[in-house]
Formats: sequence, C-alpha cells, structure tokens
Amino acid sequence: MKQMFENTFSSMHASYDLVAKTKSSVMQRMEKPQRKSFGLTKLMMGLTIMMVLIGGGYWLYFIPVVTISVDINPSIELSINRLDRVIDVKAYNSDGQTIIDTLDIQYQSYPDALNTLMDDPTIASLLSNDGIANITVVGNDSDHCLKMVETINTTVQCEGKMQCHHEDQQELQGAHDCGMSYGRYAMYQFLLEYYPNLTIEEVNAMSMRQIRDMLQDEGVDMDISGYGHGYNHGHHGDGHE
Amino acid sequence: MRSESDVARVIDTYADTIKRICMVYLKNTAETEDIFQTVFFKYATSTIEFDNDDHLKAWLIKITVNQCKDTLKSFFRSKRIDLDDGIEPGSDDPPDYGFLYDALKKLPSNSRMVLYLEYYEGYNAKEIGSIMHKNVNTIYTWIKRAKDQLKTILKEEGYEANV
Repeated sequence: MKQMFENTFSSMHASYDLVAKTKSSVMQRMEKPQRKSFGLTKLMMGLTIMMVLIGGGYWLYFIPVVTISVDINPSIELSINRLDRVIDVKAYNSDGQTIIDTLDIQYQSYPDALNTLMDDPTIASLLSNDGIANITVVGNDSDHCLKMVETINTTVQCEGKMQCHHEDQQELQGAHDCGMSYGRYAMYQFLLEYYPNLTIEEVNAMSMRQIRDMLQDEGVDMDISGYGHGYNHGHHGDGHE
Repeated sequence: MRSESDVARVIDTYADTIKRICMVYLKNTAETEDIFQTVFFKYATSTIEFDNDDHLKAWLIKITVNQCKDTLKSFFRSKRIDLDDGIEPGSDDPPDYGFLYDALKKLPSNSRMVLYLEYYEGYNAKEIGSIMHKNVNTIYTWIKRAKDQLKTILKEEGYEANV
C-alpha cells in the first residue's frame, strides 16, 4: 500500500506557474506591511466610529423616555423615544389588545399615533357613546411632558372627549405590577382617597367615564377641558393644578 | 519578517507537498492558488524558530490542513460547487492520477488525509493527531476506518490491495 501511495503522489507536482505566482504574491505582500497596518488602523477607527454611532443611534431611537397611557376602557400604552416616535405599543386589557392588533402605529410620531388610535372604529364608537379618553403623559422630565400635553391637546382630534395630563413616573411605579396602565393606576390611586376598599379588579373593569363620574360624585373637579399636571383634587375646584 | 530568499527557498522546497495536501483534502486545484499564498505568507510573517526541516514541514502541513478545512467550510465554496455540480472544479487538472487517487476521492476528507499522512508522508498516529488537532485515539479510529473503507472501494473496483 505504501508503494501504491508513493506511485500515486510522487507524480503530483505544483506547476511552475503556481510557484511563480505564489512567490510574486507573497513578496508583494511582504513589501507592504506598513500600508497594511495603516489600513488596519483605519479599519479599527472606522469600526470604533461605527460602534459609537450605532450606540448613539440606539440610545436616541430605542430607549423610551416617555410613556403615553391611553385609557377609555381599553388601556393602551405607547412608549415614546427622544425623537417623539412610538417605539413600542402595549395593551393592558383584552379590549386594548384587540385594537392594537389591527393598528400599525409603531414608529409614528406620537400625535399621529394618537390620532390614528382615536380614529379606530371601536374607540370612535366608545367616545361617541359618552366615553372619555384619559391620556396620561408619564415621564421624569416634567417640562418635556407638559409640552407634550400641550401638543396633544392642540393636535389630537377628539371632539372634547379627551382629558390629557402629566404624571410623574416615580409616583406610578406600582402600576405594571398591578397589571394596570399608568393612566388607570393614577386614577385608581385617586379613587382610593374616596373609596379605600376599592379593589384592583373592580377598577380594571371600570371605564374612564365611570371613574370620572364616581369622582365627580365625591365633588372632585374633573374639568374635561383642563390640562396640566394632575387633576384638581378637592371639592369643586379648590384643589391644585 | 523572514528574508525573501528564505521564503523563496521554502516555496520551492515544499510547493509539491502543499499541492498534494490540497489535492487530498479538496480533491481539486480550484482553491490551491489562494491556499498557497496564505500558507507561504503565514510562513513569511511568522516568528516561529523551526528546529529543523521536519519541524518546518509538519508546521506547513498543519497550516495547509487548517486552510483546507476553512475552504471546505466556506459558504461561497459550497454554493459554487452546487452551481458547478456535474462540472468537477478541478477539470483542468491532469486528468488521471490513477485508480488509488480515484478510490481515495470517494472517502471522507479526514479519512483521505490520515491515509496520505501515514502512507506517503510517513507520520505516525501521534504526529498525525498533532497535525490535525485530534486525540491520538481518534486518529487510530480514523485510520482503521479509512483502511477498511479504502479496501472495500478497491475491491469493488476490482483491485486487490493489502491495506
């Protein structure tokens, strides 16, 4: 067998051309180490810049800074990035899920996304039947959130059936643990001042109209046209903005 | 960086060996040129001090085997071979290296390589294990299996061989 291998492979040779080409190519590459190293440095610099841009772009685009909670009876939350774009949409009840399953509002600006939501036939029907859209802008930068509240109040078409306000995110930390949107949780906290025995399940089953009516019955000023930070606590307008 | 004359000498001395490894591992010469340039450029830029020519030859074979493995794994190669199916990539090679080479081409690449290294280059199982980055027991298993496979193929082709 060894002899068979010897006979077979001793006839295999690298051609003159192959040897000459290899020598020429290797020698050329040996003469250009400096250029290669410069190319490598440029490549590394390019990669670093690309990583910074990608990291910065990710920070700018994919990190949410504000949450807009839209509650009627459907409860939906929109996560908004620094560029005022919707980067995530979540529903907090089955009504909300049904609506977001049929809408494509991701990556829209938040006023466009809210208008699209309000135009949804289910939401439009709820609002025309005495429903109220409670829109809560939740974030840590109050100035920015209040500007957003103002924008929403001036650009979102809701025919007077909308109440928009800002809440501080830190005060609503427990919302998602209770399975509630920020907006519904804020209302729940508010209701507890007057109805301390109210359960999470009961509040989850209520529409914003029912909650608003309960609070109004207790003498809370739920001025639908007002906007700003929080609701007017207290009886008949003696609260604070 | 080694001197140009040293690199040229090594290319002249070991070109045939590298060519044979490529022919055993890849079964054609389509990628041989790239592998030649890579292997000898690695030699030119390596800082390893070789004890002797045997040490250098074993190192070159090891580098070539690695390059051949990478080539076999290459997505582009597999696609190209698929497209060229029916047209043997090495069709411009000298057409006939004899019945043993034809039989070897029917074996898996690792089987071909261990038989070549043992029978033609004269390495033992331990040395082959070092070249192929495998445990010596694995090499024993591969050699045994490869010999059985080769014997069967040669028999089917009507050749009697004492493998």
